[in-house]
Amino acid sequence: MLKLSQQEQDFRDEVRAFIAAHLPADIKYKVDNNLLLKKSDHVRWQKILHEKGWFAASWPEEYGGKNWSAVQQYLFDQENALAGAPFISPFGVNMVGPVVYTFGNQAQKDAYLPGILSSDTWWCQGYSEPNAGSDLASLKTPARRDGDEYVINGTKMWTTQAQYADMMHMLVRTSSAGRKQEGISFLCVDMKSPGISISPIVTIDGLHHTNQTFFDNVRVPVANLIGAEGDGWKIARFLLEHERGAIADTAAKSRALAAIRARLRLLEADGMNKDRLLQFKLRTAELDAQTLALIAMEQRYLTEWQKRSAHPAEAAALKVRGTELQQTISVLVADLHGPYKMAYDAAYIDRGEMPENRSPAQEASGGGHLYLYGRCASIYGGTNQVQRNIIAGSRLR
Amino acid sequence: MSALQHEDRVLIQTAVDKFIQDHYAFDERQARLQDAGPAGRHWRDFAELGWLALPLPEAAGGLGGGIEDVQLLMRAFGRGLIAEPFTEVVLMAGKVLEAAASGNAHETLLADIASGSERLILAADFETSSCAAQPTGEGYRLDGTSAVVVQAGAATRYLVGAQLNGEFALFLVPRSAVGLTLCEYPTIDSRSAGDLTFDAVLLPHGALVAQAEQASRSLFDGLLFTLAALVAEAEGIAAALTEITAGYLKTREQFGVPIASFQALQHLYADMVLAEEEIRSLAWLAANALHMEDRGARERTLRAAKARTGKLGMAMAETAVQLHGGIGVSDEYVVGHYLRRMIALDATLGSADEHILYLAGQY
Repeated sequence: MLKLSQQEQDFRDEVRAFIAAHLPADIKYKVDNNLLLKKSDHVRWQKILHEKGWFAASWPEEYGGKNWSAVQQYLFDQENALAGAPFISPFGVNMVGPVVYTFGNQAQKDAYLPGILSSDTWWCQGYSEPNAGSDLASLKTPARRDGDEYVINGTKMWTTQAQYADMMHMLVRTSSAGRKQEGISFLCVDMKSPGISISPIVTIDGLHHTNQTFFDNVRVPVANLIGAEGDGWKIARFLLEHERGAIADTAAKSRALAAIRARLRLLEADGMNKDRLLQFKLRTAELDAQTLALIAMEQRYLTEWQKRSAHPAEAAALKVRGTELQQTISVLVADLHGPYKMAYDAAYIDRGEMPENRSPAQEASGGGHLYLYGRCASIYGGTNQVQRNIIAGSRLR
Repeated sequence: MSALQHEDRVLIQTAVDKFIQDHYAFDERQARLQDAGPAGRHWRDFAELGWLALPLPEAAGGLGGGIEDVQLLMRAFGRGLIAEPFTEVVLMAGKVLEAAASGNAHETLLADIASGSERLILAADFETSSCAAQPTGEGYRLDGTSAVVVQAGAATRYLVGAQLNGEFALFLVPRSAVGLTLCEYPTIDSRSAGDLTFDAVLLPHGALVAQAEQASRSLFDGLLFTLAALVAEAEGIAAALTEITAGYLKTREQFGVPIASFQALQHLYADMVLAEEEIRSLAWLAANALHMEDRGARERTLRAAKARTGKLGMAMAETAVQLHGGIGVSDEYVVGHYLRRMIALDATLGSADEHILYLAGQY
């Protein structure tokens, strides 16, 4: 386990107490029961954190942050997830924010950072394309320079939350000369620009999280280019590196396992067949051990990354183990509902209400949602096969 | 064993393949589910094509088909993601009724099932029933609940398992019975199920179909027959998944080559093929096992086949989703729906874990 200084322990206790006192009950209910969080839920919680000064707190102070150490940010993320608070939507604060204060000019910092801090500007990400998934560098969407503007034509896949977004940070092709990584640029695009249209993609859970976004002669000021033309690949790598600490998301697993153990106690009290109960307990103990190992891996890396730079294979290891564990846990959650495992009411998950008398079928639907949407986790952000290539390549090459 | 002539089997195969091609295109699925009615859009067609009569005895208006004839349909139904309650009405309820009503007045109901005019749904499982029947002067009083009755909303009548004088009994209960409530909900495979509550439901003497040994044996035989059919449905899904996934791997290009050229993906695909082959073998085994003399051995074999199919089916469908990447987790693509059906199949008549637990208890 991470050895915390007295200061760090006090900090963790303060975070825990604050979240317990301020997390709205209806939002916690959704998280605890695997219902769909809406933008308004995220914004409400992020504004509460912002008011406390704990949103974007690992940003440098000059940009509105608190210079939190990696350990502080980790402790906060753990407490946030353990308490059943919404995950922090990463597209603004964890992705484009650090890009803007690292690579942006003063005008861009002034234009973008305040809206991210206040959560009044909602961001999404436009990277993948229909033919550029695992092979992201082959992306084609051209941004043609026309005076003080770029003109964008093309389409972006898996633009999660684009239906909510005010801005998109996207990778475009500004040159087809040289290596394919070299002609990529990083643009910030106003989602109200004429020529942008959004087509919802309903995912395997029957819900609308993500989209395909189309660009038809969309004009974007050159002032919205971050860094120089051709810096896009470098910036995207920086951005993904910046996300690495949160990849394993172990606290969400710990919370799910605590809920599983609580359910086992209920089933035991209800007189479930002892052998059946033992079957479930064995699976739970196995997952507890796996979670412990993942937490160890995550904390060891966190400690080492304070002394040296991270290796891509380490982030890949966290991604593979984290998503596999998430998926195995979700199967157990679903199985604990017995024959109700078959029930799945997507409309109920979408409504996210707190019914007074929840039916067993509604309760089981949360488990189904966790399982179904969890199938995406081993695909997005680089499939687990790509991650394994990175891991093998780091030792075999 | 197949009870039909080879030519008849060819006709059935041709008809079901053509039906799915003509009426069950995946991209028309939304419309099909929306105006489905209680028994799906095509129940009448199922009757006209003779499918509802297929496994029922000729003497009762059926075609007298055997498990292998049913498996032939089920493979196609798996591939087509058929939403009509064929399994629930014709196999689970129909085959149990066939055994339970043998030689009594309820046998005529089989002809109504075969013609499509009645849809009987079974409210009973391998587990002991949580319903109880009390004799009254005029008949019986039924109380209790039956949870997760798949396609309960499609029923015109229910065949309900209940304890009567300390023994198992089967009753016919009309859908409109006073004191019967149905709470319906959607299922993970885009069908529906429901919880039935019987609150002092009064039944006439004639509602009793069978009791004691005959009732439990009928339930047992009908459910084992259904298990053998479900394994064949999983086989149909597995075959569709390996075919569709192969097509995707060979055409999808990344890094300038078809992704089928990556060995990491080839090995995942090989695991899918292994699962398909194993499930196909289990379907064959399950059909043969139904004819085993030893009742205990028959049950163990069918349960083992169902357990293995549940695990393999989910795992290979998950792999199919993974190999498709983002498109695999899109609702508008068929692969995720096959996965969702595999989950429902595992949850039907006992999950893999539950059957394994039963088998472990037999050592």
